[in-house]
Amino acid sequence: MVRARRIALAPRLAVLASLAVASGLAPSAVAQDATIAGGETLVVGSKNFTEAHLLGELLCLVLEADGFEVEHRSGLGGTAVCYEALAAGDIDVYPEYTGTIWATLLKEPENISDPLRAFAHVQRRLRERDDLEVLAPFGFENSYALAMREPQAAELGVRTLPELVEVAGSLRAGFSHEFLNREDGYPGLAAFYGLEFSEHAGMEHGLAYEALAAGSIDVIDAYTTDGKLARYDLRVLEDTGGFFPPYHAVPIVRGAVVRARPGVRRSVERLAYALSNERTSELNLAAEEGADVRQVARGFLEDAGLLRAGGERDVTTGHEGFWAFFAARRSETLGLLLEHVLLTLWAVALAAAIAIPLGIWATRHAGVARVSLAVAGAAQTIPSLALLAALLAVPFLGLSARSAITALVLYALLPILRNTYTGIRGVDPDLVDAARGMGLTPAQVLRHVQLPLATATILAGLRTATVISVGVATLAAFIGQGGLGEPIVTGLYLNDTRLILSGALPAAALALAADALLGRLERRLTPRGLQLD
Amino acid sequence: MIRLDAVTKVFSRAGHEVAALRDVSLEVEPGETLALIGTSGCGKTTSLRLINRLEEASAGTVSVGGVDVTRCDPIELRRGIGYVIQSGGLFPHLDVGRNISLLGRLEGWSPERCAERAEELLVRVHLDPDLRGRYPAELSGGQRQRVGVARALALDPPILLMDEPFGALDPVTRWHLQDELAELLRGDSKATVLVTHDLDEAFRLGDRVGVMSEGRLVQVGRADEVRAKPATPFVAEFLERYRRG
Repeated sequence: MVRARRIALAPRLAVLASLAVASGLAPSAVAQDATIAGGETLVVGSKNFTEAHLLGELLCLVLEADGFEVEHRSGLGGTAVCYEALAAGDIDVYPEYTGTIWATLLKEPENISDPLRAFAHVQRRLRERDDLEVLAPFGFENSYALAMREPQAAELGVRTLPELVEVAGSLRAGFSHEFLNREDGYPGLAAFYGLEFSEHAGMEHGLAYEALAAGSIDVIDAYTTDGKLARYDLRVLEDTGGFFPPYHAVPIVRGAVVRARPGVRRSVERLAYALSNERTSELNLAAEEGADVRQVARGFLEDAGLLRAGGERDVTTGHEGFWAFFAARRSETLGLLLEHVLLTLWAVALAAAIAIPLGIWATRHAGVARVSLAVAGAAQTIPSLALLAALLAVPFLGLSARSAITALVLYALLPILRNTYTGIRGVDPDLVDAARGMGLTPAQVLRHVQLPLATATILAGLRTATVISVGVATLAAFIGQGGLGEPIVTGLYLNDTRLILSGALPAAALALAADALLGRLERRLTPRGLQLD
Repeated sequence: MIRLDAVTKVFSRAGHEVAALRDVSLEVEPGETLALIGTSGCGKTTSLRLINRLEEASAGTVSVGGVDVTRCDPIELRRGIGYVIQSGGLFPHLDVGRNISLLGRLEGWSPERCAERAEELLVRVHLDPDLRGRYPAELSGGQRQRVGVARALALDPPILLMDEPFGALDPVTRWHLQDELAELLRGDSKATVLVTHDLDEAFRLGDRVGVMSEGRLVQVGRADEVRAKPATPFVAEFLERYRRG
């Protein structure tokens, strides 16, 4: 399925965005003023996996309880997206891991195993470099680890990473894309231990557990607090050599926010050391098994005495059938559908406003045709997530609907431009000659002869562009811009097929409906005289 | 009315210079029809396109009504020249009425005047005015060609240029249309240039006939003169070969 393949590219986003940071494309955080991202509203960000979502909800709940207005932008596509959004002031706070900051963001060359030293170091460096405050840890560590099926590990007698090295030559590994590309991930690990598998491939983390359980791969990367580790009967291999840095979860807040609103720090630090590894695994598992993340977070805070009981607590167990589930999400889906339609309409309208005049101009100048078609063609070949990542680094765009719309416009340009160009060029030259010979001005030739005769072709381009946009718009969810991609992305990380379908089915229906509707429009707007042949 | 003075037209194709017309001079008076004839590629179509300035001369001057065409506004010039091309050149997305009255509309005529003029012209080219609402795809070849002629007459231009107007028609229809056109032009004050490769058509419709070969106008004269006294061996051979089919 095309959509699933696109989403599996997600972690590449992180890599690309970090390239952007490294090459200095990212706007400097220091240049940001003291205002809060969403005006008076605090914006909490979180990455696109269960635990990050959960921590994000915890932050939201304590901040709300302390009287702040809070907005949660969950499901942001990876470390670099979150960090850049924070540095750019698009979000005010997000949960991160010390090891990730150490290796991925600061790119420290040495290995570190002392958690306190690591914490102190990242706190100092982020404050100096980007005016960001690393506040007190949540209390648990979610390290990277490698995991195998328990029976196979027992049979091979593998308990530790050095023992794995011995038998790795006959094993297949499936790693998340981010892990495959991070220095503190596979490349570093392989070099550190001299590890080499018979084959290894990148795959969507949410799907890796299924693949491992099904036996199509033997080793995966895992987070030590993954709820699924328990569910799938897996063995976590010990990092006896001390390769992985400590990954203690910490909130990072913008320095400007901490200074302007001292209450924010107090509120966030109520969560300091509130979570143990065990408790976190339990909460993750509850969320992954279909309970509402916000309710899981609320339940934990109430049990821990950090939040007064009451309010909207309910126990959605998430085991009802798809149609019941779908029906229950009706109004939510409608809202997302509307967002999706608006996103698509904006994009196609803007693309048409650019591509149709450009296409007309191109029919009159060979140079314009060459350059514009080449540029629009090139834009189309950029993988969508890479394009989104690149746009995040553009100051005016950033983490907003503008980025999503810009990306969609770039994809929609080519079909409209190409069809306008070929539609007009394809008009019988004798007719154009007849029109010129009769004494029509160039504008009149265009208006009365070329455009009417090219209408069907131009509309067909518009139709292609619309269908493409409906599909690509699902990726807007990766930068927190909603649409029907939201349940798809969340569903992938929660490994929840119903959630994926609740986004994918309406998106597919929307694409079909748009196609049918524009097809009818095409026939209606095609001049009658042309339908007679 | 129409005058070409020592006109040469050179096209450059793929880096090569090709002369389509070499030193051609001719004149057409009001009320007169000049039929240009010759093998394909001899420059007869180029001559027409120089008159309505779809092409410009490389050397020499083309004038219409005594004025050098390069000094005229090309749009105004062309609206004073009716232009008929092979197979009519009708716009397939416009019905017959709108094909005929397109120029009238662009000139700001009222819809009533446009409709009236279209009917009047349909009658003049021997068509049923009820064809007004039909589209070109619904017409026969002969009907299309008649509509093409009607459209060229829409603004009642003093000049008419026709490029192989009946080239795509069957011989019988062609015969009828030639008769009709001859009748239409008789007693009219239009200066007409007709390009054709059909010798009978040239002799039937042309008050004078111009024979062209390789970009040169090798002989111009009344039909019977040309027939009686070919000026060059080429003309003689052309007439001879034509007679044999």
